This record gives sequence, structure tokens and C-alpha cells, in this order.
Amino acid sequence: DNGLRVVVSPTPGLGVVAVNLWYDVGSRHESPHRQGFAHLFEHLMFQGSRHVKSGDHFALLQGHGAALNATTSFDRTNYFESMPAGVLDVALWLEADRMAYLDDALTQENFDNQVDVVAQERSQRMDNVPYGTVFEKALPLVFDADHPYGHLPIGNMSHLGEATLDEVSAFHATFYMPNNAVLSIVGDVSEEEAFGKADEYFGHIPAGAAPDRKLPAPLEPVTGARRLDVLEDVPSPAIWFAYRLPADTATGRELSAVRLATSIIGEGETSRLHRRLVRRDQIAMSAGLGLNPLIAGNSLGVGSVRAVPSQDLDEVAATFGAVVAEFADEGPSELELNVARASAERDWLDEMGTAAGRADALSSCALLFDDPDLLNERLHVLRSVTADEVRAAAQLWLCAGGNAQVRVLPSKTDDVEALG
Amino acid sequence: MTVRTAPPPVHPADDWRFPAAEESRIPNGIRVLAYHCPGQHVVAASLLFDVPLEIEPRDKEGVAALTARCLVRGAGTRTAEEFADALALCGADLDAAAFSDGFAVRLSTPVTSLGAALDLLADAVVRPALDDGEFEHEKALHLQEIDQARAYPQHVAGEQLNAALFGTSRSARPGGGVPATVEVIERADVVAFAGDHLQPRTATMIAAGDFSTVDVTTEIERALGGWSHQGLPPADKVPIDVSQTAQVILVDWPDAPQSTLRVAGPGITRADEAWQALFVANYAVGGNFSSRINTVLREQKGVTYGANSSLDTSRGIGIMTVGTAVRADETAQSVADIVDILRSAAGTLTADEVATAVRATTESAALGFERAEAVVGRVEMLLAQGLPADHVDVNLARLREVTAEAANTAYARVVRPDQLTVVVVGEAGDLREPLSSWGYGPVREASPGDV
Repeated sequence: DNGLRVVVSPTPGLGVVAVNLWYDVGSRHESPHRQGFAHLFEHLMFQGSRHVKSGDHFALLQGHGAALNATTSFDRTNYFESMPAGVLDVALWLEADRMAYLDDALTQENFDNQVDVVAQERSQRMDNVPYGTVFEKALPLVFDADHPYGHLPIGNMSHLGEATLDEVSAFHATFYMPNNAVLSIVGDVSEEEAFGKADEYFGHIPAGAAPDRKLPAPLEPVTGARRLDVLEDVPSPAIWFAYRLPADTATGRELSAVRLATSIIGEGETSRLHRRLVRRDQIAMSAGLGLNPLIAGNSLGVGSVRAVPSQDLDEVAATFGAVVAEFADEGPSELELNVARASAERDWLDEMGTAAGRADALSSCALLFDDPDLLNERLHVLRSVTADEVRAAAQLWLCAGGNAQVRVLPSKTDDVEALG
Repeated sequence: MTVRTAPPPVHPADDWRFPAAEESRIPNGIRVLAYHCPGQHVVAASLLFDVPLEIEPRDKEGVAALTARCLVRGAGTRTAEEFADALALCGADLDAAAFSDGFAVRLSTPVTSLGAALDLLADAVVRPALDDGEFEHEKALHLQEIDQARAYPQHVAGEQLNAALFGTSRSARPGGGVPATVEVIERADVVAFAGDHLQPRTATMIAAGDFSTVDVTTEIERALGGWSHQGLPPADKVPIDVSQTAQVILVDWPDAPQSTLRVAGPGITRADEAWQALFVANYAVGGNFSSRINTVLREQKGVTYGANSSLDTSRGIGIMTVGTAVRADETAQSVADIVDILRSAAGTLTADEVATAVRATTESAALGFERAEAVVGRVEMLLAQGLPADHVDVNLARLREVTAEAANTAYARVVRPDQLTVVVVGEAGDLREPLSSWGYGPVREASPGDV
């Protein structure tokens, strides 16, 4: 009765059960002055709650053979654990305790510690990695800096340094409540038992004032030159291309058409980009194009090319553009369309191969579109999209509109003239 | 409704068992191990050859890796692009890999395309094109990737660690070779490598997936049964010594915001009778989120996103490695902390820590082998290291018997906290002095390509 949506998918005899919670909060909900807060908050969810001591969340679950973690993305935050079936109650109890009573356990010491840990996470994933900050630079170019998708979930460390413990409580009060979440339970548990346990552990938590979902209007594809050139200590020149794409929706037909297009243009060794830039022209070590489905107005497309050393990037950008334009002009061949469909079906099978994967996919469909059955429906949509739809989608979203580009030039070689 | 204030009870699981193997042998000598895994509709398969990396000629190291790359670039009647299309239409992936203990051709495919995908695997192994143009392109890409990898601090730390630990053996040097040895490899070397070392009599096909609608053994025999090639006899394995001298290797990484660290010394093999006890000890010291090392470096000091220790093995050899990346200005303190934790662990592993480690490492088995790919990966590793395919169940049974006393004894026997190799990839100008003052061992400076 508290508005928590519960999805159950039993797999008798599996021995394993997965719990997965999606909360309808991600980096797009952050204040412009607190970029990275949703992710920092996610870290604090592991520091204990009213009945759980700091450190016990991991210890209780891992100590019984569970695997667990959480991730923060643009649109949502998910918390998940997979474990032997007999540990299910412990997982549900821990999730319920931190949904209801995080405040009681928050301390300045834990808060300061996790601000430090997140800074090291950022260093390890981005700042101390070649090309590690390019994607971050592309976002405010393709969207504007104040757009919900204008910054990465990892965020801005100086914003986090200014944040206070009170803001953590306020964030929890605003976004963490049963009626702003989906709970999926998948694996070796009966339907009746799973719903019973969900009620037993979460039923006492009162509903809150869930925030309305405010989605910005869709943006047209990028127009004009949006480009940033940076000099970095990298071994080879590279370009990232960012595209505004149609938002993900329940049936997602238009985005499915774009997905097939990006797959044919830029996914794997059969793709047009690979065959042209890596194999035929041999101006790149790798070349690809993919998409990140999102709901707030637009999805995001990202292409990237790692050029061979000393390669002129103007030529790379021109060739990339020509490959996309040619595809948008002629559309996919029957072989290409069949390859793209086979690839999508394979990805889907991989995702369905573990209880954790099924639980995450169910949570996604239920939270974003209020319909867990879309999990199967969306594959049918992908199969039914026609070559004409794929061509039209590529024409509109990848070709007629432009893209934002970030070019990375090696700072320590004589490649600087390639700045072009 | 009352709110529960303490964790609910855990219902113990029945002892999980590794999927049972259906074993057979094709008349041409290929051993087949098939594992039926209900619900796994993506089949994983690995055709494993008994070819250790140490058989590569010293001046052409990288020839195995380059052969692996070239095998899937056209085969049978298909060009490279036609071959890639055929695989993609199956929804399949096919890759070959050369590693220290073996050479494997690995397939993953929806079970509905199994027959067609196995035919493509057979083409790659039995009838590879090894086309001249494809060879030259793969060689160029391989050289570029070696160069690229050296821009990544974690990769450099790993290469430097191997170089410092493994003396003059093959394991001391990069698996894919170095530019000087790759440059001189010619297409004929790749053709010779494949001809000499890929042969049915040293091959094992390991396959796992939901085989309720397909006879996988028959499919494998149909695809590979006609192969009769004979190459060179399998090579003897050379034992390897691991460094037991305290040493610090510093690799300069200008302006690094973090230092990437590896701290390592000898471990033991999975065949050692103390393996399970040491595994449990390692779990407590650094093998899980709540371990001693991660608790200090991450949850108390906040100097890292994560720190862990692991036991790595290959045939006849084992090492224990602590790995992390820490805030640059905490580098010397952090390596000292790690060594102190390793020292203080000797004799102090508690009954609680050991019981938790035993429970965690045994009860996670069903989860760890949920995917067909994980089942095949483990069997491949066991066979390559000379262990029996049924080792997983034996290992789990022995893990359950580990006591605190056994864990402490194994740790004391194996781990030598004052004879470790420490690799630091970070800003040398700031680190030279503090690492020397630490006084752990001689500090030697190396550059990224220096292996």
C-alpha cells in the first residue's frame, strides 16, 4: 500500500536469487551546484542505517556468499545483490532498513570518508586514465552545461567538498521512499513467497511525497559547430562524437530504429566504420558508434575513433562523416539488418543469462515505463523495425543534424599540427 | 507490523555441485567435456591446446598472440569480412587467445546457432586463411596496441611486476611480445606456429550451455572429427622461481593524481595441499570488501577506491598480489600500511574471520558458476594448469574443512612480508625520497617500456 512496485520472476531450482532496487533518481535530478551528489549519496547507503552498523551491509551479504553493489546513472540509481536462495531475507531486510532509516546512522566521519573515496574513484576511472575525461567534456557540448545530461554522474569533486551531511538527509527524504522505487526479486523463490517477503520487510515503510517526474522537452539534433580540441598526454590522436538521439519510450520504436542504425554503422567488426577506418583506410586502431538510452527528452549517442599515431584528425572526422552520410543515404542491406538483429538478440540473451541481469532489466522496464512486460515486448519491436525506418532514423538523427566533437591530440609528440 | 531490529536468519543452502561433465573422445584424439547448464541459452565453448607460451622462440615472442589474432581473419572458403558476417549472423563471437599455459579458441553462441557456429570454429582452427594482407594488418594493430597499453598505469604496473618477480623465465615478459620481437615476425612464422602446435591430439573441447535440445557432443564430432593433422609433440614445462628479495620498483608517471601499486611475493599452486587454507587466509586479509586491507585503506583512510589481494596461479607457480591505486600524497604511507597489514596478519587470523571466509567462498559457488562462460573458463584454467576437471567440487569440500589453525599455518608458511616486490607507478620526483626513507628494500627506477 506504500506504493512500492514489486516485480517477481521465479526460476525454481536455480539455487540463486537476485534482488534489485531501482530508485527514480540519478544525476539528472541534481542541483547544478551539487554535481555528483546522487552518486556520493549511493556510497553513503553502504555506511549503515538504524539497525545496521557501518560496514555490516557488505559483511553480512558477502559473508554469506552474495555479490552486491550499486550504480548511479543519469536517470536512476540501482542497488543489487545476488546470493544463495537462503540469504534472501537478509538482503531484503538490509534494503528496507536503508530505505526507511538511513538518517540514524549518518556521521560526519563516514561522510568525509566517502567524499574522499569518491574522489579516488574518479581518479582511478578517469583522471589517471588516458582519454579518461573525454566523455565528460563531450556532454556539455552536445547538451548544454545546465541540461540534465550536461554532466556525468561522477560529478564535480569541488561541489562534493562543499556538500554537508544535512544535504544527505534532505536527499534521502526527497527521493528515497517506497513509492519512488521498484523492487525486483528473481530466481529461486516462489511467487507467493517473494511477494510475502516484500510485504514483510517493506510493508511498514510509509509512502512519501514522491517527486513528480519532470522531463524536459526533446531537443533537436545539434546544429552548428560544437567542437573542443584538447592537448593531453595520450599515445595517439582520437575523436569523440556525441549525438542527441530520441528519448527512450515504452515501445521505443524510433530509438530501436536508431539502435539498429548505430549497430550497423558502428558496432563490432562487421560495422561500416570498422571496415572503412580500421580495415580499408587503416587510419584508425578502433572506430565505433553506440547509444545510451535515456528518458529525459533525448538519448545520447557516442562515437569514437582511436586514430593511428600521427594521423590527421580532419581526415578521420571527414571519413567518419562520410560513412554515416552514405548509410543515411542508402539504408541498410538485408545482410546488415539481419546482423544487427542477431546482435541485439544476442545481447538480450546475455542479459537474461543471470538472475541479476533479469532482475535489473525488469526493474528498468518497471521504473522507467511502468511495465515490466516490456522486457519481452521490446525484442519484438526490434525485430519488426524495417529498413526504411532505420534509414529514416539515421537520416534525421545521425546525418541531417550534426554532432559535438572532442578531439584529443597528443601533447608530447610532433603531432600538434594535426590540430587542423 | 513490527520492524525487525536484527538480521533475519539465513537458511543454509544444500551443498552445491559443479555441473557434471559428459566426457568423450573423438577418434582423432580430441577430448570432449560437455556441461549441461539448464537455462544457459548462450553456449560457451573453448578448444584448448596444450601449448605453453614458453615454446615461443625467444627472438619472436608474440608469435602465439599474433597467430591467435590471425586465425579468425578468414577461413575455409570465406574472406575475413565474410567470416565476420557469418559469425555475426549466428549471433556468435569467436576469439583465440594465447596465455602462459595454453592456447584457446573460444566461442560463444546462442544454442540455436550452435551447429553453424561450431563449423566456423572448425574452419578457423583447421582451415585458417592466414592471408598475407590480413597478417600485415594484424601485426600493425598488435604493435599499436602494445604501444597504447603502455599509456595505462595499471597495465604498466602489471608488466613491471612480472618482470621483477619472474627472473629470466617467459612469464617475466609480456605475453604478446615486445615491439622488437613482434617486428621480426613474418607470416611464415604464424603459419608454422599453427601447424606445429594446433593439433587434435593435444586438444580438449570444453562446452557448456543448455543442451536439452541439442546433442552437443555429436555436433562437436561432426565439426571437428575429420581433422587429422599432426604437429610437434607437447613441450615439457619448465619450473619457474619467484623472486623472494625485498625490492621497490618505481616507474615515473608525471603528474599522476594517484599512484598505482602492486605488492607481491610467492604464493602456491592450486594443487598444493595448503591451497584452500591459504585461499581462506587471503580472503580475510585482502580478498573481499570487508578485508583488513580494504577496511584500512578505503573505509578508514579514504585514500583509495578499493584495495584487494589475490592469489594468482599458472602451471607450477603461484603468487599473492596486493593491488590498489592510492592518492599520490599517501603513496609511501600506503605501501607501508599494506606491508604492515601483511606482517600483522601472521598468526592473528581469528576463528570468526576464517569461518566467514569459508562460508563466503563456498556459498558463493552457485553464483560464481551461474553462467556457462564461467563454467568453461574454470575448466579451461584447471586443465591448462594440469589439474583434473572435477577440481571445483574437491576444492569446495576441502575449503569447508579449513580451520583457523590451518589458515594461520598456511599463511605463515607461504607469505613473507619482508621479501616482497613493490611496484609503484607514480610521480617519481615526489616519491623517490619517501620510498627510500621507508627502508624496505633497494629502490630501482624503471620506464614503462622497460620489460
